[in-house]
Formats: sequence, C-alpha cells, structure tokens
Amino acid sequence: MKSPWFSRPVPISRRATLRGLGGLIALPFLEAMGGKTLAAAAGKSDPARLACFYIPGGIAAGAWFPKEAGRNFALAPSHVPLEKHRDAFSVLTGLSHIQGRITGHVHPYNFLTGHNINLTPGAITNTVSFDQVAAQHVGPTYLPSLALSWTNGVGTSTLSRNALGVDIPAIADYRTVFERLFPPADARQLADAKARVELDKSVLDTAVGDIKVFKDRLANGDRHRLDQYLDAIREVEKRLGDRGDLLERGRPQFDEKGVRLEAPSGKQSMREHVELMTDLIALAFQTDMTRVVTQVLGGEGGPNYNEYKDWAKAAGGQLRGAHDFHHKGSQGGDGADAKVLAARDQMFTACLARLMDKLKAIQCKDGTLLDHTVLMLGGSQVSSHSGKSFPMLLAGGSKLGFKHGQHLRWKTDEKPISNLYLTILQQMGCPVQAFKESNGTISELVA
Amino acid sequence: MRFSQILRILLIPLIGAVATGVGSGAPPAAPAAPPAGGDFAQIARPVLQQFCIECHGPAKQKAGHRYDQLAGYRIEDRNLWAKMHEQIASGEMPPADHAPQPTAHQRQALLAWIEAAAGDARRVAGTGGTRRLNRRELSAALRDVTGLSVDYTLSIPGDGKVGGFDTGADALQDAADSVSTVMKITRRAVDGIRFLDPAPGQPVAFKPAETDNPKRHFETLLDPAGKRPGKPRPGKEPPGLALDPSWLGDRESTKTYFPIPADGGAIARVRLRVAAVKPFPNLPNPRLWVEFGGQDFDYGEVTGTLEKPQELVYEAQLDELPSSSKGVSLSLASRVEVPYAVEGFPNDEPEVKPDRPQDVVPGGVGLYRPRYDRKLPHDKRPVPFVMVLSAELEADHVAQWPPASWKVDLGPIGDNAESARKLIAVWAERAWRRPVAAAELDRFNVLYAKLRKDGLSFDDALRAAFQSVLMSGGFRYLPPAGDPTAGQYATASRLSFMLWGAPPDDELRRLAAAGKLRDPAVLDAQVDRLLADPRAEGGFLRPFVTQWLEMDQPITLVMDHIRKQDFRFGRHLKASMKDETVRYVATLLTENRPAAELVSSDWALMNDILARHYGYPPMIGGELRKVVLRKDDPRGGGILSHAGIQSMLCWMGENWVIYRGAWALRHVLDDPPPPPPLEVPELVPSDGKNQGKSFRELLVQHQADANCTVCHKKMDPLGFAFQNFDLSGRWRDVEHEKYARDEIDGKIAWKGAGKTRPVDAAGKLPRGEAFESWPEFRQLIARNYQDDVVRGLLKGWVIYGAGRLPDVDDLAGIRRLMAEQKPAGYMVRDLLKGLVRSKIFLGE
Repeated sequence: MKSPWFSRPVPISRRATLRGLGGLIALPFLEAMGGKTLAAAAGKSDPARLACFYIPGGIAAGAWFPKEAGRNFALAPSHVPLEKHRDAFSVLTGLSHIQGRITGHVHPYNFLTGHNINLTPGAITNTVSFDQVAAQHVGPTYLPSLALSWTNGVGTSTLSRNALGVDIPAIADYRTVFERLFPPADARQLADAKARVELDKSVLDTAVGDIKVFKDRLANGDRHRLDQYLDAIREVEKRLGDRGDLLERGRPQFDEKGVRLEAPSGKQSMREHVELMTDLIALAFQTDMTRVVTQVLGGEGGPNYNEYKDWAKAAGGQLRGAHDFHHKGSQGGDGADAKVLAARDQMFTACLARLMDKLKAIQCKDGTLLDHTVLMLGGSQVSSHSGKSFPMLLAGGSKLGFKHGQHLRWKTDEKPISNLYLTILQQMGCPVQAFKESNGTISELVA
Repeated sequence: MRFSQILRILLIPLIGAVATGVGSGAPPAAPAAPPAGGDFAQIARPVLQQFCIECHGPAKQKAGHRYDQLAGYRIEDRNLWAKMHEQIASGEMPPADHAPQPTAHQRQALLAWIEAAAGDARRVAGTGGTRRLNRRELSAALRDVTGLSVDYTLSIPGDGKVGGFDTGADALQDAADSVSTVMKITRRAVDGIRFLDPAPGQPVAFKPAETDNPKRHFETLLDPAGKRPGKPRPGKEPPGLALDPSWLGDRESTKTYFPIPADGGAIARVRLRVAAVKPFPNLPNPRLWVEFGGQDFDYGEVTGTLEKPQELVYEAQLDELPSSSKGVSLSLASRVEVPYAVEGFPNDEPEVKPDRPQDVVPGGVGLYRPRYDRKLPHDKRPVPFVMVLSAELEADHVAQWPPASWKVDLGPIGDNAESARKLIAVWAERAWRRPVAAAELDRFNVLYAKLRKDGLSFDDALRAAFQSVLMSGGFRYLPPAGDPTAGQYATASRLSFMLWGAPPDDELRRLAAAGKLRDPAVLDAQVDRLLADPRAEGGFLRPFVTQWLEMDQPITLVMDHIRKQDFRFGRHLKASMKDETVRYVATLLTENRPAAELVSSDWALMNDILARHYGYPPMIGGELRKVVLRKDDPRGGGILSHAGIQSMLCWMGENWVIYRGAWALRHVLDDPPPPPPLEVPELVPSDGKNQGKSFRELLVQHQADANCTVCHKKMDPLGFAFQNFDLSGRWRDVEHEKYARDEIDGKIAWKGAGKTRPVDAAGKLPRGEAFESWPEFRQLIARNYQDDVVRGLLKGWVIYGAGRLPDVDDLAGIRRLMAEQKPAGYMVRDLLKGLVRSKIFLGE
C-alpha cells in the first residue's frame, strides 16, 4: 500500500567518530536457523508468543457464527479456510466488554483494554491493553512489542496502549517493520549501534537532571505529568540497557532476500497487505526479536481496498466504500452487501490459516511454533455500533495449555472478554490475577 | 467530617481497585483529601440523590454520567462537575418532563456548592495545564532553535485530543514510546547543525543560460556521472526551465535525484526562483507541485513574474523519504485547475459519448481548457506556465549554528571548553524559552567534557549536549501561563504557542523580562501584533478553525453539478472550500468584526475556482478576496452557508439531516448532543423499505422511540435548515430521491438518482422556534442564538489556549467576559483579547 513512511536502513550514527565510544564488542553470534526457532536452534525451550488481530467494522453475522456449540459443530462459512486447523482453533461467541461498552468508530481504542473511554466528557482516557501486560512479562526482547496497522499512527490506528493508557504508534510500512525488527548486520554498524546506546543513555541521564527541580515548582495537579515524563525516560533507559545487551547477540541469520517488503501487485490489496505483515510476524517470532504483536486489519471507514470491487462484482451488488459495506453488510440477511462482507471475513480467516501453516512449519524443541503462539482474531462489533458480542477466534498455543476445536457460546453479558484476556495472560505465564473487568478465567479453553 | 463520609471515601477507591485489577488505569486512589467547599453530604448529595441518580446512577448512566459514586469535588472530576453545573444552570436538567423538579432554592444551593467547591479546589491545586508540546509545536520549536526549515512532523505521530483540540493537557501525555520518538527527532535536529566542521556538501547551481536543454540539465544536476547536455546559449529563450501545465491527471513532471550521503542523516535543500508566465491576457495562475521522494511538499500558486520572481525554499530530511537506487526524487510539475478559454483555440474536451448526455456542457467551446500544438513556442501557447529561473540544490546540507541572522556575538569560537560553554548557553536559552542560570547548565558542560574525553569531536560532543538540553523538561514542557516560577516567560510562551504555534520571539521575551506581560494594554497590543504576523496563519488560525469546526472530514462533490471538476480540478477546489471557512473566521478576527457575522453576513470570500463554484463572475488568482454577495443569492454569508462545511457533512452520502443538525449543535450552538447510545440500529435511507421516502417521513421513527427522541428532537428539526445545500455545498431548490456512490476514473462521485422533489427546509431551533425556510432560520439564529455562538467560540479558545476544558470557574469567567462585551456587539478580536487578559488564560 502507498504509505508516506517508507524509509531506508538508517545508519545509527551520523558521525564515524562515535565508534570510539562503545568499546569492544563481541562478534555477532549468528544462528543457523533453518526451520527452527532461535531457541530451538540453541537447544532451548521456547517462550510464549502472542498476536492479536482486529477486524474493523462489523462482520457478516450470518456467515460467521456456527449453528451448534460444543465440539462437533459444523464450521461456519466464514471459517471454512480454517478447516485443516480444526483442532487448533476455537470460536468464542457472546464475549464483550460489559462495563467498557462503547460504540462507533472508536472501537480499536478499547478492544484490548476494556476501558470505557467515554468516562471523561470531551477527553479520551484509556488504560493498558492486555498485549502490553504480556509484553511486560514475556521479554525482554530486541523489540518489546510490535504494533502494526493499515496506516501509521495512533488513536484508532493502533490496538496497543501502554501502562498509562497512552497509544503506542502503529507501523503500516513493511520496510520500517523489517528495519526495526533486527539489529544491524555488519560489525561496524553493530559497534555504532552499541555506541549510540551508550551515548543515548548519557544524553538522557543528563537531561533529567533538573526534572525534580522543575517538578517541585509545579501545582499539585501537574506533578503527575512530569512524573509520567520521568517514568517514561527511565523506561527508555531500561530499554536502552536491554537493547545494549541484545545487540551483543547480533543479527540472527536467515534468508533475508526471501523476505517480501513490497506488495507484489503494487496495488491496494488488503490480502497482500495482511499476508506481508503476517509473514513478518512469523519471522519476528521465529527469530525471537519480539514476542508480542498487535495488528489493526483495516479502518472503520476505509481504506477502500481493491478487493471490494471483485467481491461486489461476485456478489452482484453495488460498489460502496468500505465504511458503507461495514454498515450495510453487517445488518444481517444474505443480500449482496452481506456477501461482500462475508467474503472479507473469509479472507481474514484464510490469512489466519496461512499464518498458522507458517508457524506450524517452524520447529521448537517441543512441538511447533504454533503450539507456543496464541493467535487472536476478532472485532468489537457484530453489526455496526453493536458491541454486545464480539466475533472472536482463538488459535494455537497447545503447549501453553490451550484446548481447541470447540465453539464456546455464552449469553450476552454473561462473561466479560477480559476473562479471555486474563486466561491468555496466565497461560503465557504472566503473574497476573486480574485484568480489567475479569471475574475469572475461561476454564473450558484450558486443558 | 462524618463517619459515613470517611467510610465512603475510603471504600470507593478500594472497591475500584479490587474490581479493576491490572487494567485499572485510573490513577491509584488519591489520598482522601477533605472535600473542598463545605459539606457535600449535607448540601449536594441529597439534591443529587433526589433528582439525578435515577438516570445517572447505578441503574442508568444517561449520557455516560454517573453521580452516585461522587463523594465531593475532586479535581479529577472537574469536567463532570462543569457539565453538571452548566446543565442545571441552564435549566436543561433535570428534564422538564421529569417529576419532581427541584425548587429554585435547591437548584441554587447545589450550584453555589459546586462553584465554591470548584474555587477551593483550584486554589489548592491551581488550574494546572502543564503539558508537553504537541506534534506541530515540537516541529516548530525545533525549527526555531536550529534555524532550519525542516518539517519534523513527518515522523512524529499525531496527538490525542481534548474536545477536538490537539492542545489539551489531558491528552498530551508521555510514555516510553513517545520519548523514544522524541529522542529520534531531536537527534535529527542536532545532526542538521554544525559549529567548527566544514560544510559537508556544497550547493550545485542550475544556470539555464549555460544550456539549450534546461530540462535535461536540471535532471542531471546532482548526478556525479551525469553529462550536462547542451551548449551555452547566452541570451537565448527560454530564460529558464519551462514547466508546461499538465492536466488530465497525468503524472508528467521534471525530476531530479538527490544522492543519499553514505552516513545518512542529511538535509536536502532546494532554493528556486520561479515566475508565472502568461502569454495571453486573463489566463489563470499556474500552480507548482513539488514532491520530495514522492511526498507532497507544496502545491502553491505561482504569482511571481519574470521581472519580480518568487523565491521558494524547501528543506527535507532525506532519511524520512522514500528512495530508489538513484536516490530521493525531487519532482516539479505545473498544474492549472481553473477552467478557462482563449479565443482562437478550440476546447480540448474529449468527444462526448452518446450514452453520456450529462457530459454535454452548456456554454460551448473552450469551456475549460484550450487545445494547442505542443510545438508552438512558449510565448504562443494559450497556457500559463511556471518558469524556473534558477535553482540551487544541496544534497548534504548541515547548517552553521547559530544562524547568522540571529546576530549573536559570541566572540571567537574555537575548539575549547569556553566556546562550548557559550554555545550551550545560547542554545539552552532559546530551547527553554527563558533566561538560564549558569548553574543550570553545569551538567551539560560536564557531558560535553566527558564526551570529549571519550574521543568525540567538538561538534559531535556539542551536538550530544544540545540534544540533552532538548530532552529536558524545559524544552518539552509548557508550564501554564500563570506559572509563578517561570516568571512571565511562561506567559510569553503560552501566548506565542497559542497564536503562532511556535516559541516566543525577542519582543515577547523582552516584555516578559520587563514584567509587562500582565499589563492589559501590552497584552492587547501583543495579540494585535501576533495575529498580524504570518505565523498566525499556520500556527493558530488554521489549526484552531479546523479543529473547532471539525473540518478534517472529506469533502464530497457531485458529478452532476461539477462535471469534470471532481477528478481534474479537484484539489484546488477542495482546498479552497476549506480555506474559505478558515479565512472567513480569520477575517472576523483580524478585522475585529461582530461575532454575529459568524452565522450571518452579506459577504463571502472567493477566488477563481470558488467564484465558478458559486456562479459568480470570473476571477483570476487563487487568493481569497472579499466579495459582497448578490442580493438574490439565497445562501447569504456566514460559515453555515460555506460549501466546504455543508459538503463535508454529507461525506457518508445519506443522513445529512442528522449529521448537519448534530454538527451545528456541537460546533456552532454550544449544545453538543451526547454520543449516540449503544445498540441503536442506524437509519439507512436507501434501505428497501425506506426508499423514496422523504427525510421527514423517515425521521418520524426517531420521534416514536423515547431513546432517540431525547437527542434527535434537537438534531433532526435543526438539520432540515440545511436541506437547500446539495452534496457539493451549492444551493439547490429540488432534491433527489436518493444519492448513490459512483466511481469515475477511480475517483468517488455521488450521483443523485430517482425522482426529484422540492426541498423541504422547515424545522425547529433547539429552543423550539419554528422556521419555514433557510432565510428564516438565519434570521432566527442571528437574533436568538448569538450568545450561544459566542460562548461556544470562547470555550473553544479556552481549550485551545489554556489547554483544558473550561471548569466551573472558567465558565463563570466566560459569562463575565460576555456580559462585559455584549453591549459592544461581541467584536471577535476584542473577545479574544478579553480572554487573554482574563485569569482563565493568565491564571490567578
């Protein structure tokens, strides 16, 4: 897709003289990975991974929900691409944010946080998203987490909110993702990077020298804001420290030329976009550069990807903008608009199936990477502006204790989706006892 | 304090903490301070309990408000209290049909309690409002301190908003990720300057007189292997590189490539001298489209002449931009977007297809562009074109600092600690926007010294120290205007960031130093001066108006009315439609006109394309000019009749009545409807059962359902007022049965379809006044709603300038200011001055 954020590998330092600063650096330790994870290549056990995908707008409900609950349910039309992974995924129906219910285009704000963002009139407040809770506990990795999207930015373009509820900007450009993911390849650049980490630490250390003085002069109500700045700087310093350590390991070895960083058709294709991103996710998980990823699959009001033309043609319907398809295709029935939306939903599950194939082909010490990865594909609304029941698929993670092949169904407002988030966090080994509205875990999902 | 009260204060946060667990984002329970302003339990709670809890309590939370958990006035809840106070004071709440109603005494007692409690809380905690710079301010502050004109916003993510504005303290938070981004940006900024190092690159000059092939010459200018084609032709035409206008959406452009220096980080700098050449009279002005790395940098009108050329400078950070193996492209193209004809040349309109009779344009030959032979010499072509007279390209620009234009005399600068100290002091004063004591700079000097010992050069070590200055609180954070410790420098900064979106200049700093920035006459003069400065346009007028009126919505145009314009002339028209509103409000401010003209006047602003859009006599030039409206123009003046406003509210194609009504309530009448309730299906006019019905017939559904009526009883009847405006914001007397989305040449068009019917524009204003037509509506709104419009504008300025939603105290200040200025007819600039002089802006 056309994005204004392309960029090249940026040399870490502007000036060669920086290199004097970092001291000696160990030779990069390059892994011959083949079809294994980084941990498996070293004969170690694999940590947990998490990827959450958000479906924009509503869904074509008629094609999404299986008719029966339990283990022997017939796959719903939208889930047919997942047939071969039948035992590795579950359909969850009836979960939602109960206290945190919101409506309209703002759903991505609280999809993973569960916070009722409209509490403060006129201002959007938020709380931590559960992927970031996971990121806090499963690292450190070269990148603490990765937020992906269809467009660069914050707000509804990202799903991830940090501990303060502040948006973590998402990236939509493949090359930028790729460049962020890995330490530099050559020894000179690595030394530069290491030197830059040291320099950045000194710069920050010096910078905050006066924050306490500055803060003491402030009104009560404002001190927390400077605390926030100070905390943020400490967190950056900690990350710099982690990064310095991880740089010592160097860049993992893999087939870099095989990584696709440009959409093959060069057109606005939704499928290509999702596929390229999920390929990068699989690579990031395999090389263990990050363990937590979120991705917004599209906006509530667009973009109007090219596929809509084909789907509208196939359904014999009128071509509309993505926003109008979300509205009109999610109202039920089997009209042309609903067919278009069902085609989109099926494309999403096909992308999920494809990612599962990829992860399944990567070996861990025990099982495959899919068995160590929790994949979540869902959205916040069934029809437009209805947040009562989230469309939700959970896949993978059998080695983390997940039990799949079922359609679990609850009554509206019976269980908050925070219970699912808590279950995921606990199965990933995060020491948390509650998340947002949670009042327990979902035991049916756990072996 | 009573026991029960203490218990409640203790319990609520505890319950909250248990129930919310990890994700609980609300700041941890603040230590239970005694509620300010007297006894909440005795005065306020009983009234709330009796009249409000039913709808705003555990069972229902209408409009998202819940009062049963309130245990006094906490500063964190100030927005809730302000809203409550407003609703009770205006009589809006409790609703008239709600029984029982509070007595006048109860109402007063509650209002008085809220005011006292709010006042107490403010005395303890201050107004607050310390905030970090937002995206555009950060970029402006970096440009200011470096002296470069690079746009740093390219890699800064957007900001959260308060009440629609990007200056609200509550939404401008910081976290590790934002700080990491700022580290990256500030490093780029310091990498763009140098002290003792020689300039890494030199500008390459493009001299058209040295070649007979200026295009190729320009294209190979920075290519080290490129052979400069052509022979010198001194004195021969053309005098420069002629950019022919292109049309029809083709991508014809003249490109050159910037090589990327091996160490990245460079700034590309382009200086152009251009002129518009118009061989025939009455040709429109050409536009110069500048793209860097395929990214839009400029799309401005060229008005310079061969005698008096225009100078344009572009600076871009190369590693922000896409590149190919050749480097980063710079492309120049010329566009003409205004239809025109030249006698003697036929229209270049492609043939009309028989099945598209709507393409037959009345008015005959030469309607929008003449056909000509491309072999004609330039001075015989019936087109305006851009002539590039000279150019200077620099691929690795690193600017000498401090800029010569500052005229800072530091004495001799050499590779020694004393020079470093002097430079750090100048940098810090500029960056922190206030005088800096030597002791405050010790640690930066220490950092410099340490890095020198580590082997860094003078320039590198100093750059790191400079970056450290930028990462400290003084650069990144703005204290509130009344902050006593920063002296009046805080006021100077707040004023300039409000009216320029940029740091204060020398004059403001001098006034701050002299302690004159609380003097009303001085403040008035500064408001005048700042508004008259070109920085006010991009730093205040545009962002304020755009955010105040929520104008970042796309504009829709209808094919039937505009014909080819949507895809061939779209950009200039759409931009002009937005500019019209921005400049209109700006004119009210700069000419100090009455606020009533916001909604009703006899003038408008037009340029070449808007005159055409509105059906006024042709004009030349894209610059907006004041036009007195024709007496028979039913639209009249004022922002509500602007095509850009009415068109953007149709962007979803249907339901305009509701969107337009809701927008007018929210942004013009200061009566914002709450967010739509949950689980309510949308009314879709094109749905089978709804097709062919008029809006009025459809909207009956809203009146039938009590859940809908609450808000729609105001939105729907108001929205009818705007029915005379079509999808392109132009006047119409008939409406279509439905409007469908269409696509032409890959661009969206909305088409009216089905039967037509006369426009039905009868409705009601929020307080029940009925109108039969648009002119009646305008009269009523100008007569009865002036206070509401002014209050809404003032609230917008409070959020924008002070960075917070107006609290109970601020609202009282707004009422005082309005009472004071009403007799003079609410002159717009006087209102702004009054606000700047008040304690709302200045603090206690």
